[in-house]
Amino acid sequence: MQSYFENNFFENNFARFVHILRHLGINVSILETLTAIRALTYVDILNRNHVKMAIAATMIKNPDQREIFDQAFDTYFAPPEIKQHQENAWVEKQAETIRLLEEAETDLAYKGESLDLSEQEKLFYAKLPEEEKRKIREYLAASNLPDDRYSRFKPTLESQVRGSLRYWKQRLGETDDYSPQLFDNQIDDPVMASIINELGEDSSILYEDMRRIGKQDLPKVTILLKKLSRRLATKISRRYRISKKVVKLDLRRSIKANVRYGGVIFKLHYKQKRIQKPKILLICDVSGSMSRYASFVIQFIYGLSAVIKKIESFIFAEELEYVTPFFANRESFEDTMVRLIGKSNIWGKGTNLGAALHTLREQYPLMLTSNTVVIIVSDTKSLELERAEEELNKLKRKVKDILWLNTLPQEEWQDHPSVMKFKRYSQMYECYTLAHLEKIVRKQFLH
Amino acid sequence: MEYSKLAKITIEKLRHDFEEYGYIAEDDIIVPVYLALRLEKPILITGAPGVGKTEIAKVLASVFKTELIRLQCYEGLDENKALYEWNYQKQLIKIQLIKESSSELTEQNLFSHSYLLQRPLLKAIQAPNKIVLLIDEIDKTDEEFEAFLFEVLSDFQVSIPELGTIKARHIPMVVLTNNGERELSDGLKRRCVYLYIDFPTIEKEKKIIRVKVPQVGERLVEEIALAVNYLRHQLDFKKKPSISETLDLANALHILGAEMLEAEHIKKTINLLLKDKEDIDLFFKELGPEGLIENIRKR
Repeated sequence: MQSYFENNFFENNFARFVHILRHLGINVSILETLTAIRALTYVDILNRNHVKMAIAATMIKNPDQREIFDQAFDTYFAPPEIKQHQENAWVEKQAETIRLLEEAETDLAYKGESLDLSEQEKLFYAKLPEEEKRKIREYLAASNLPDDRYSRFKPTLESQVRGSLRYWKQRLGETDDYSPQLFDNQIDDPVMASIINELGEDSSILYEDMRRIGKQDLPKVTILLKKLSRRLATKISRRYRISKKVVKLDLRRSIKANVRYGGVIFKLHYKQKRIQKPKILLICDVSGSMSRYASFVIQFIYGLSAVIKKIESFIFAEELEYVTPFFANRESFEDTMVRLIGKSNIWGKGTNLGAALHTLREQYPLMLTSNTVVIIVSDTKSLELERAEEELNKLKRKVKDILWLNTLPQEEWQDHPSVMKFKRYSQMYECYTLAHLEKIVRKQFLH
Repeated sequence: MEYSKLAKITIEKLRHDFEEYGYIAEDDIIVPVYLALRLEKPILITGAPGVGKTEIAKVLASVFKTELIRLQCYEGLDENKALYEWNYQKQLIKIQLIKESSSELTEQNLFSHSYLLQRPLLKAIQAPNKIVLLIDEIDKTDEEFEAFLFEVLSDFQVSIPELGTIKARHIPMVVLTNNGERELSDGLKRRCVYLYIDFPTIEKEKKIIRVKVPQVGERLVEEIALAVNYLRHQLDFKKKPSISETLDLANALHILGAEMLEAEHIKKTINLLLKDKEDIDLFFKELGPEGLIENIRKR
């Protein structure tokens, strides 16, 4: 591990800063890095503000990234004593992480050999309350059979411990803002690692799991969602796009327009292909496990419906409910929600997607056209999976496309058969943070 | 300052020149503009409508005493409208004339400079001086046009099959504006210096009103700036009042003979600030003219 002071020259420091920005999710190209270095030759290098502005102007091309850039700049270009302090703190933090990992490896062993668990799982175990750790240890000790069925038992035990850890993760995740530290082996520079770790953790509510967003952040979320839905709305509300792929001469119109020139084709007319706007049909899961996410997504639709008329909204849990009329009155979002939850019979109940889709198909057939894009927001947990799968398949045949915004983290998808089933008939996206929602909007609709 | 003196500009000098032409700007705007000029790169300016994005191009043209060529973008804008087009009608007339006389016609005669309709991009490239090229509201174009544009902007040359490659004599000062309706491609953003213009602070807005509407008294300037700032930040409008709308209000109040802001004035002039019926309704429902006056007097 090299000390900060050993490589303290401009190009090295600058490259490390660019590396930090990339780790924080800001894409900086080589061209931009070189432009930034050129730009610095035109400003007074001792003027901290000008240096910061020059780097920002050449490397930060999205106003949403400005805040994180400012934080990274201020932390990275800090006086040497502070940097030394950051380095020491990081070394200590890493030592602590290593100690926790070793403790977990000793505890989570079968016949003296460590279980095959990921570092994150081990760290999560190490940070569990002592009582829970003891239960897992006792379970492992009790499974320690004195015969040679070693190879058969180890994978079973591993999967049981993993399941138990996942259970705790979900339980603690819902009740407590508890998340284990990520241990990034790829960064061996203590200053860089500490900044990435610190700013990564501190990142805005954009990256926070939506169900954990506290009340104090709600006004900020409202503004963000509004911004997002307006951007999407602008794009969708454009009347048509002229297809430039095939520019065809419109002979009929050209002849008609040129009669006045005695038949000489003087003025050419081209055919314009008009693309119709897609109709959006949104189906949002408001069952118990989803109701927190639902309130954010509905807020997002609320913003959209202010601008787009052709958006139909449904909510579902055990059954389907048509909620478009709630948004038509243009009351404030809070009033709309109070009325919606007050009138809804299904808010917070169990989930039956199959029944909901069946109702949709039977009662609202006119809404399902080849121009309709269906957006389903759900964690895929539903009763009667086979029926739901069959109904989804039927729906898929009737509409243009189905986008599924899944609130389960992608790494858990493989553990849920429902995800695998529904994925066959829809384009599925991970969507449990506002950043995910933003990315989907940007890539799917604004591109 | 003329364009030939571009190499001698400094941040201070540029700020001074901008102010001279009525554009009040702090370092956060001047530094990116200065860098774009020095690096000879296009500047991409983003911000809400009415914060003064297009104005920067106009001021640059005035500061450097050069021509401003404007390309207004819209959906469906293509190379024919942006770069060049052959003057089909003129070519047809030429053919007819040649038919009637017995002179000889070659293809080369028909595809020469005199039949070329220069559109803004080609005009900018062929300009004898360093000009300012304003590409306004780039987010309104389609992705394909954007891709074509960043090729032009990186090489500053275009190929016309019948005439060959035309290279810019002087790299123009390119200003692109963007209202953020659509995400622009990374390729285009990479090639530009980036500037985001936010709504001004109260102090800056006061300065702008003083420069642009000097006949308005100090108390009214102060109260207009406070009121507009309050509306922008406290109420959730669909379209927030921009700087140009602040100036309209200042002008209107001057015409009405106001010396300080009264509820009656706001009632008469609110539609200069708010241009959407829902926004006006929201204003009267949530705040009202009296409420606004009360809040700004508190500050």
